[in-house]
Amino acid sequence: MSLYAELGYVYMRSKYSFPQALSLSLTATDALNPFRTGVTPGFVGRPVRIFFDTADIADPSVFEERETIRGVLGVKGKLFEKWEWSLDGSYDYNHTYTSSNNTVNLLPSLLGAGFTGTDAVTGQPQVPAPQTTRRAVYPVLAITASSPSRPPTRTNIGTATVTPAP
Amino acid sequence: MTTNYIGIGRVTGPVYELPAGPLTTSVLGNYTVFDRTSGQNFANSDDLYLLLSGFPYRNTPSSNPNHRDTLSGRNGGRGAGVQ
Repeated sequence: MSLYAELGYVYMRSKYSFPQALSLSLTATDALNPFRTGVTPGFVGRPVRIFFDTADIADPSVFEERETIRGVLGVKGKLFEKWEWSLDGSYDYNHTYTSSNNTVNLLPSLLGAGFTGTDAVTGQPQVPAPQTTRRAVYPVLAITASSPSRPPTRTNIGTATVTPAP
Repeated sequence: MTTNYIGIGRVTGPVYELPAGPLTTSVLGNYTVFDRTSGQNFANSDDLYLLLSGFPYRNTPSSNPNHRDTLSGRNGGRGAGVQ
């Protein structure tokens, strides 16, 4: 009769961040729209979608941790002349933890229409703060493009792309 | 989080002598206890949600425990190669 055992441990940890594409749709009469109605006398205006990068807000990030512990304990022996038997027990434990942080995800909603559904607790309709109040929190197109002498401190409109809204 | 307890008992031996060698069979019993718990939790700024919706942030945590006991058996045969 013989005894056998096996023990294993695996630990994995990762952390990464990634850029997120953000866009803001502006109507033809939106005050932020550089092609808005009446921006020059007689200009009709047209809706646009602006793609932007937030240079002063950290990119979304993900932290992940995985742990695995595994153990086996067994015993085996002979049965009669040519037969063998074995009995073993194993235990394994896996734990995974993931934490993600996305600060910019709600920015388009903050600058756009806000939420217009119903509150999950009260069932009452959601009423966003006035758009001017919300846009004052993060004046998305108001500040600096990047330049060698003045690094971006707000939205990096140097990487913004303006396209006609569909 | 997942945990597994597995117990396996096995008996192996020859049942028939072929010209090329013994035909071996194995009888196996397996008992497994499986547990898994998964869930999500969220956090956000009440101030931001008051601006967005007029209400504070409503967290919707979830948890999904899962337990399973399994008892199974198996029998398999194997012919030996040319010896």
